[in-house]
Amino acid sequence: MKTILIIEDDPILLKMYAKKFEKDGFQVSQAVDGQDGLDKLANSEPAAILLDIMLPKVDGFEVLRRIKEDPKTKDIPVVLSTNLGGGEEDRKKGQDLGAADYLIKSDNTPAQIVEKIKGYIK
Amino acid sequence: MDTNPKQLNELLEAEKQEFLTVMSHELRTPMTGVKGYLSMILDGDAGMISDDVKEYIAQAYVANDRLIRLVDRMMKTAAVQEGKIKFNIQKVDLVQNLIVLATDFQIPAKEKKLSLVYNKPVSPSGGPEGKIFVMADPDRLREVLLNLISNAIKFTSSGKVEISHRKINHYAVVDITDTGQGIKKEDQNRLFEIFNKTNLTLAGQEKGTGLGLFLARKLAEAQGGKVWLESSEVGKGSTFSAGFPVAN
Repeated sequence: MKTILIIEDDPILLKMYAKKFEKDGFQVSQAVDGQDGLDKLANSEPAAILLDIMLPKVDGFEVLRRIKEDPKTKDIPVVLSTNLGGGEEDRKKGQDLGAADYLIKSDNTPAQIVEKIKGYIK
Repeated sequence: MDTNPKQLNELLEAEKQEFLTVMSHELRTPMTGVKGYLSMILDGDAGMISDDVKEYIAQAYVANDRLIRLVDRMMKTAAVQEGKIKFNIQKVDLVQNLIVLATDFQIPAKEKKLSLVYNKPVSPSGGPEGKIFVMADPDRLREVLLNLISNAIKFTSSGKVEISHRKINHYAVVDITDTGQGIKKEDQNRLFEIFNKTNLTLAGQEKGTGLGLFLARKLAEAQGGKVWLESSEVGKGSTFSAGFPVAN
Protein backbone atom coordinates (compact mmCIF):
# COMPACT_ATOMS: atom_id res chain seq x y z
CA MET A 1 0.00 0.00 0.00
CA LYS A 2 1.38 3.40 -0.94
CA THR A 3 1.87 6.05 1.72
CA ILE A 4 1.07 9.74 1.44
CA LEU A 5 2.63 12.18 3.87
CA ILE A 6 0.31 15.12 4.61
CA ILE A 7 1.88 18.11 6.35
CA GLU A 8 -0.96 20.44 7.36
CA ASP A 9 -1.42 22.45 10.54
CA ASP A 10 -5.18 22.93 10.34
CA PRO A 11 -6.65 19.85 12.12
CA ILE A 12 -9.95 19.97 10.20
CA LEU A 13 -8.22 20.03 6.80
CA LEU A 14 -5.64 17.46 7.88
CA LYS A 15 -8.36 15.01 8.88
CA MET A 16 -10.30 15.76 5.68
CA TYR A 17 -7.39 15.07 3.31
CA ALA A 18 -6.35 12.02 5.35
CA LYS A 19 -9.86 10.54 5.11
CA LYS A 20 -10.01 11.13 1.37
CA PHE A 21 -6.63 9.49 0.70
CA GLU A 22 -7.56 6.53 2.93
CA LYS A 23 -10.84 6.13 1.04
CA ASP A 24 -8.76 5.96 -2.12
CA GLY A 25 -6.63 3.12 -0.73
CA PHE A 26 -3.58 5.01 0.50
CA GLN A 27 -1.87 4.74 3.83
CA VAL A 28 -1.59 8.20 5.37
CA SER A 29 1.13 9.65 7.53
CA GLN A 30 0.09 12.93 9.17
CA ALA A 31 2.24 15.81 10.38
CA VAL A 32 1.02 19.01 12.08
CA ASP A 33 4.01 21.30 11.47
CA GLY A 34 7.14 21.54 9.36
CA GLN A 35 9.45 19.92 11.89
CA ASP A 36 6.97 17.10 12.53
CA GLY A 37 6.85 16.56 8.76
CA LEU A 38 10.63 16.28 8.45
CA ASP A 39 10.70 13.89 11.44
CA LYS A 40 7.98 11.69 9.94
CA LEU A 41 9.86 11.69 6.63
CA ALA A 42 13.03 10.43 8.33
CA ASN A 43 11.42 7.07 9.09
CA SER A 44 8.98 6.55 6.24
CA GLU A 45 9.09 6.41 2.46
CA PRO A 46 6.02 8.18 1.16
CA ALA A 47 5.06 7.94 -2.51
CA ALA A 48 4.16 11.65 -2.44
CA ILE A 49 3.88 14.58 -0.06
CA LEU A 50 1.06 17.09 0.29
CA LEU A 51 2.69 20.13 1.85
CA ASP A 52 1.06 23.25 3.29
CA ILE A 53 3.10 26.48 3.05
CA MET A 54 2.12 28.46 6.13
CA LEU A 55 3.27 26.07 8.88
CA PRO A 56 4.46 26.48 12.47
CA LYS A 57 8.13 25.88 13.33
CA VAL A 58 9.49 25.25 9.82
CA ASP A 59 7.50 26.73 6.90
CA GLY A 60 6.55 24.78 3.79
CA PHE A 61 9.14 26.34 1.49
CA GLU A 62 11.92 25.44 3.94
CA VAL A 63 10.57 21.90 4.32
CA LEU A 64 10.52 21.61 0.52
CA ARG A 65 14.09 22.91 0.27
CA ARG A 66 15.32 20.31 2.76
CA ILE A 67 13.41 17.48 1.06
CA LYS A 68 14.98 18.37 -2.29
CA GLU A 69 18.45 18.75 -0.74
CA ASP A 70 18.46 15.26 0.74
CA PRO A 71 19.42 12.58 -1.83
CA LYS A 72 17.19 10.09 0.00
CA THR A 73 14.04 12.21 -0.42
CA LYS A 74 14.72 14.43 -3.42
CA ASP A 75 12.78 12.25 -5.88
CA ILE A 76 9.55 12.18 -3.88
CA PRO A 77 6.95 14.36 -5.64
CA VAL A 78 5.88 17.26 -3.42
CA VAL A 79 2.64 19.12 -4.07
CA LEU A 80 2.35 22.48 -2.34
CA SER A 81 -1.13 23.36 -1.17
CA THR A 82 -1.95 26.79 0.15
CA ASN A 83 -4.62 29.35 0.81
CA LEU A 84 -2.13 32.19 0.77
CA GLY A 85 -2.86 34.77 -1.87
CA GLY A 86 0.78 34.84 -2.94
CA GLY A 87 -0.05 34.02 -6.54
CA GLU A 88 2.55 33.78 -9.25
CA GLU A 89 5.46 34.73 -7.04
CA ASP A 90 4.85 31.85 -4.61
CA ARG A 91 4.07 29.47 -7.45
CA LYS A 92 7.38 30.30 -9.06
CA LYS A 93 9.25 30.01 -5.78
CA GLY A 94 7.75 26.53 -5.28
CA GLN A 95 8.62 25.54 -8.83
CA ASP A 96 12.21 26.74 -8.45
CA LEU A 97 12.55 24.72 -5.25
CA GLY A 98 11.37 21.61 -7.10
CA ALA A 99 7.68 21.27 -6.23
CA ALA A 100 5.69 19.06 -8.61
CA ASP A 101 2.65 21.34 -8.37
CA TYR A 102 1.18 24.30 -6.53
CA LEU A 103 -2.51 24.16 -5.60
CA ILE A 104 -4.87 26.66 -4.06
CA LYS A 105 -6.75 24.71 -1.41
CA SER A 106 -10.03 26.61 -1.70
CA ASP A 107 -10.10 25.98 -5.49
CA ASN A 108 -9.87 22.20 -5.12
CA THR A 109 -12.02 19.50 -3.57
CA PRO A 110 -10.20 16.68 -1.73
CA ALA A 111 -11.09 14.37 -4.65
CA GLN A 112 -9.35 16.75 -7.09
CA ILE A 113 -6.26 16.89 -4.88
CA VAL A 114 -6.10 13.08 -4.65
CA GLU A 115 -6.39 12.84 -8.45
CA LYS A 116 -3.62 15.40 -8.99
CA ILE A 117 -1.28 13.69 -6.54
CA LYS A 118 -1.94 10.31 -8.16
CA GLY A 119 -0.78 11.84 -11.41
CA TYR A 120 2.64 12.53 -9.92
CA ILE A 121 3.21 9.09 -8.38
CA LYS A 122 5.36 6.86 -10.55
CA MET B 1 6.81 59.18 20.40
CA ASP B 2 9.84 58.42 18.27
CA THR B 3 7.83 57.77 15.12
CA ASN B 4 7.22 60.65 12.74
CA PRO B 5 3.93 60.89 10.78
CA LYS B 6 5.49 59.51 7.58
CA GLN B 7 6.92 56.49 9.36
CA LEU B 8 3.63 55.95 11.17
CA ASN B 9 1.79 56.04 7.87
CA GLU B 10 4.17 53.51 6.33
CA LEU B 11 3.76 51.31 9.37
CA LEU B 12 -0.02 51.46 9.09
CA GLU B 13 0.12 50.70 5.36
CA ALA B 14 2.32 47.68 5.97
CA GLU B 15 0.00 46.53 8.73
CA LYS B 16 -3.04 46.93 6.53
CA GLN B 17 -1.45 44.74 3.86
CA GLU B 18 -0.43 42.18 6.45
CA PHE B 19 -3.97 42.27 7.85
CA LEU B 20 -5.47 41.59 4.41
CA THR B 21 -3.12 38.70 3.72
CA VAL B 22 -3.83 37.09 7.08
CA MET B 23 -7.58 37.69 6.78
CA SER B 24 -7.64 36.14 3.33
CA HIS B 25 -5.83 33.06 4.61
CA GLU B 26 -7.94 32.84 7.77
CA LEU B 27 -11.20 33.08 5.80
CA ARG B 28 -10.20 30.64 3.10
CA THR B 29 -9.13 27.88 5.44
CA PRO B 30 -12.53 27.22 7.09
CA MET B 31 -14.25 27.68 3.71
CA THR B 32 -11.93 25.00 2.30
CA GLY B 33 -13.08 22.71 5.12
CA VAL B 34 -16.74 23.37 4.31
CA LYS B 35 -16.16 22.85 0.57
CA GLY B 36 -14.13 19.68 1.12
CA TYR B 37 -16.47 17.93 3.54
CA LEU B 38 -19.57 18.86 1.52
CA SER B 39 -17.93 17.51 -1.63
CA MET B 40 -17.08 14.27 0.20
CA ILE B 41 -20.72 13.84 1.27
CA LEU B 42 -21.72 14.40 -2.37
CA ASP B 43 -19.06 11.89 -3.48
CA GLY B 44 -20.82 9.31 -1.29
CA ASP B 45 -17.88 9.02 1.11
CA ALA B 46 -20.23 9.15 4.11
CA GLY B 47 -22.62 6.59 2.62
CA MET B 48 -25.81 6.82 0.58
CA ILE B 49 -27.87 9.99 0.90
CA SER B 50 -31.38 10.75 -0.34
CA ASP B 51 -31.95 12.98 -3.35
CA ASP B 52 -33.29 15.73 -1.07
CA VAL B 53 -30.20 15.68 1.10
CA LYS B 54 -28.05 15.64 -2.02
CA GLU B 55 -29.81 18.71 -3.37
CA TYR B 56 -29.52 20.64 -0.11
CA ILE B 57 -25.85 19.79 0.23
CA ALA B 58 -25.28 20.81 -3.40
CA GLN B 59 -26.92 24.19 -2.67
CA ALA B 60 -24.71 24.68 0.39
CA TYR B 61 -21.69 23.80 -1.76
CA VAL B 62 -22.64 26.42 -4.37
CA ALA B 63 -23.27 29.07 -1.68
CA ASN B 64 -19.88 28.35 -0.11
CA ASP B 65 -18.17 28.58 -3.50
CA ARG B 66 -19.75 31.98 -3.94
CA LEU B 67 -18.32 33.02 -0.61
CA ILE B 68 -14.87 31.81 -1.68
CA ARG B 69 -15.16 33.83 -4.91
CA LEU B 70 -16.27 36.88 -2.98
CA VAL B 71 -13.28 36.70 -0.64
CA ASP B 72 -10.95 36.24 -3.63
CA ARG B 73 -12.37 39.28 -5.36
CA MET B 74 -12.34 41.40 -2.22
CA MET B 75 -8.69 40.59 -1.67
CA LYS B 76 -7.87 41.32 -5.28
CA THR B 77 -9.82 44.58 -5.12
CA ALA B 78 -7.89 45.62 -2.04
CA ALA B 79 -4.61 44.70 -3.71
CA VAL B 80 -5.48 46.70 -6.85
CA GLN B 81 -6.52 49.73 -4.83
CA GLU B 82 -3.35 49.57 -2.82
CA GLY B 83 -1.34 49.29 -6.02
CA LYS B 84 0.01 45.99 -4.74
CA ILE B 85 -0.55 43.98 -7.92
CA LYS B 86 2.54 43.80 -10.10
CA PHE B 87 1.94 44.09 -13.82
CA ASN B 88 4.29 42.41 -16.19
CA ILE B 89 3.54 44.42 -19.33
CA GLN B 90 4.60 42.77 -22.56
CA LYS B 91 3.56 42.19 -26.16
CA VAL B 92 0.54 39.86 -26.12
CA ASP B 93 -1.54 38.46 -28.96
CA LEU B 94 -5.14 39.41 -28.21
CA VAL B 95 -6.48 36.96 -30.80
CA GLN B 96 -4.76 33.91 -29.33
CA ASN B 97 -6.15 34.77 -25.89
CA LEU B 98 -9.66 35.19 -27.26
CA ILE B 99 -9.49 31.90 -29.14
CA VAL B 100 -8.72 30.11 -25.88
CA LEU B 101 -11.42 31.98 -23.95
CA ALA B 102 -14.04 31.48 -26.66
CA THR B 103 -13.27 27.75 -26.63
CA ASP B 104 -13.42 27.52 -22.83
CA PHE B 105 -16.74 29.34 -22.71
CA GLN B 106 -18.43 27.09 -25.28
CA ILE B 107 -19.44 24.73 -22.46
CA PRO B 108 -21.25 27.25 -20.21
CA ALA B 109 -22.78 28.85 -23.32
CA LYS B 110 -24.10 25.50 -24.52
CA GLU B 111 -25.53 24.75 -21.07
CA LYS B 112 -27.70 27.87 -21.49
CA LYS B 113 -28.40 27.10 -25.16
CA LEU B 114 -26.64 30.30 -26.20
CA SER B 115 -24.43 30.58 -29.23
CA LEU B 116 -21.02 32.06 -28.55
CA VAL B 117 -19.43 33.47 -31.69
CA TYR B 118 -15.93 34.83 -32.05
CA ASN B 119 -15.38 36.91 -35.17
CA LYS B 120 -11.66 36.53 -35.65
CA PRO B 121 -9.82 39.30 -37.47
CA VAL B 122 -8.72 38.63 -41.00
CA SER B 123 -4.96 38.66 -41.51
CA PRO B 124 -3.47 41.20 -43.95
CA SER B 125 -2.67 38.35 -46.33
CA GLY B 126 -6.34 37.39 -46.37
CA GLY B 127 -5.85 34.32 -44.20
CA PRO B 128 -8.27 33.59 -41.39
CA GLU B 129 -5.73 33.75 -38.54
CA GLY B 130 -4.92 37.40 -37.97
CA LYS B 131 -2.94 38.53 -34.96
CA ILE B 132 -3.41 41.67 -32.91
CA PHE B 133 -0.57 42.52 -30.57
CA VAL B 134 -1.25 44.75 -27.59
CA MET B 135 0.85 45.84 -24.61
CA ALA B 136 -0.56 44.20 -21.48
CA ASP B 137 0.07 41.77 -18.66
CA PRO B 138 -1.05 38.41 -20.14
CA ASP B 139 -2.73 37.10 -16.96
CA ARG B 140 -4.53 40.35 -16.17
CA LEU B 141 -5.59 40.83 -19.78
CA ARG B 142 -7.18 37.38 -19.73
CA GLU B 143 -8.86 38.20 -16.43
CA VAL B 144 -10.48 41.34 -17.85
CA LEU B 145 -11.76 39.57 -20.98
CA LEU B 146 -12.87 36.52 -19.00
CA ASN B 147 -14.90 38.73 -16.71
CA LEU B 148 -16.71 40.44 -19.60
CA ILE B 149 -17.43 37.21 -21.49
CA SER B 150 -18.60 35.38 -18.39
CA ASN B 151 -20.92 38.30 -17.49
CA ALA B 152 -22.38 38.30 -20.99
CA ILE B 153 -23.18 34.59 -20.73
CA LYS B 154 -24.43 34.84 -17.16
CA PHE B 155 -26.87 37.66 -17.86
CA THR B 156 -28.20 36.43 -21.19
CA SER B 157 -31.04 33.91 -21.14
CA SER B 158 -31.50 33.39 -24.88
CA GLY B 159 -29.83 34.30 -28.15
CA LYS B 160 -26.13 34.85 -28.56
CA VAL B 161 -22.94 36.39 -27.32
CA GLU B 162 -20.64 37.76 -29.98
CA ILE B 163 -17.00 38.80 -29.65
CA SER B 164 -15.52 41.09 -32.28
CA HIS B 165 -12.65 43.46 -32.91
CA ARG B 166 -12.24 47.05 -33.95
CA LYS B 167 -9.56 49.70 -33.70
CA ILE B 168 -9.95 53.14 -32.13
CA ASN B 169 -6.87 55.34 -32.51
CA HIS B 170 -4.02 53.36 -30.98
CA TYR B 171 -6.33 51.02 -29.04
CA ALA B 172 -7.26 47.51 -30.08
CA VAL B 173 -10.85 47.17 -28.90
CA VAL B 174 -12.74 43.98 -28.14
CA ASP B 175 -16.54 44.25 -28.21
CA ILE B 176 -18.62 41.69 -26.36
CA THR B 177 -22.22 41.94 -27.47
CA ASP B 178 -25.04 39.98 -25.89
CA THR B 179 -28.77 39.61 -26.47
CA GLY B 180 -29.47 39.81 -22.74
CA GLN B 181 -32.10 41.98 -21.08
CA GLY B 182 -30.04 45.15 -21.26
CA ILE B 183 -29.31 47.67 -18.54
CA LYS B 184 -31.63 50.51 -17.56
CA LYS B 185 -30.31 54.03 -18.23
CA GLU B 186 -30.36 54.92 -14.52
CA ASP B 187 -28.28 51.84 -13.70
CA GLN B 188 -25.69 52.32 -16.41
CA ASN B 189 -23.39 54.79 -14.70
CA ARG B 190 -23.38 52.80 -11.45
CA LEU B 191 -22.26 49.63 -13.21
CA PHE B 192 -18.57 50.09 -12.57
CA GLU B 193 -18.92 51.21 -8.97
CA ILE B 194 -17.67 48.98 -6.21
CA PHE B 195 -20.39 46.64 -4.88
CA ASN B 196 -22.85 47.84 -7.48
CA LYS B 197 -26.15 46.11 -7.01
CA THR B 198 -27.43 46.40 -10.57
CA ASN B 199 -27.22 42.67 -11.05
CA LEU B 200 -29.41 42.01 -8.03
CA THR B 201 -32.41 43.19 -10.02
CA LEU B 202 -32.14 40.14 -12.25
CA ALA B 203 -34.60 37.62 -10.85
CA GLY B 204 -33.74 33.95 -10.75
CA GLN B 205 -30.14 34.50 -11.82
CA GLU B 206 -27.00 33.58 -10.06
CA LYS B 207 -26.15 36.72 -8.11
CA GLY B 208 -22.90 38.51 -8.84
CA THR B 209 -20.44 39.75 -6.27
CA GLY B 210 -20.78 43.37 -7.39
CA LEU B 211 -17.02 43.47 -7.79
CA GLY B 212 -16.42 41.94 -11.21
CA LEU B 213 -16.84 45.01 -13.43
CA PHE B 214 -15.19 47.29 -10.90
CA LEU B 215 -12.20 44.97 -10.84
CA ALA B 216 -12.14 44.52 -14.63
CA ARG B 217 -12.00 48.28 -15.15
CA LYS B 218 -9.35 48.80 -12.46
CA LEU B 219 -7.20 45.98 -13.85
CA ALA B 220 -7.53 47.31 -17.39
CA GLU B 221 -6.69 50.88 -16.37
CA ALA B 222 -3.67 49.80 -14.34
CA GLN B 223 -2.14 48.40 -17.54
CA GLY B 224 -3.04 51.32 -19.77
CA GLY B 225 -6.31 49.90 -21.05
CA LYS B 226 -9.98 50.76 -20.69
CA VAL B 227 -13.26 48.97 -20.05
CA TRP B 228 -16.63 50.56 -20.74
CA LEU B 229 -20.26 49.98 -21.57
CA GLU B 230 -20.52 50.80 -25.27
CA SER B 231 -24.29 50.56 -25.52
CA SER B 232 -27.24 48.93 -23.87
CA GLU B 233 -30.94 48.86 -24.48
CA VAL B 234 -33.52 47.25 -22.24
CA GLY B 235 -34.92 44.16 -23.92
CA LYS B 236 -32.28 44.14 -26.67
CA GLY B 237 -28.91 43.56 -25.02
CA SER B 238 -25.61 45.21 -24.25
CA THR B 239 -22.15 45.68 -25.68
CA PHE B 240 -19.23 45.91 -23.27
CA SER B 241 -15.85 46.93 -24.65
CA ALA B 242 -12.25 46.58 -23.56
CA GLY B 243 -9.42 48.47 -25.24
CA PHE B 244 -5.70 47.93 -24.90
CA PRO B 245 -2.82 49.90 -26.44
CA VAL B 246 -1.63 48.39 -29.70
CA ALA B 247 1.99 47.20 -29.55
CA ASN B 248 4.37 48.74 -32.05
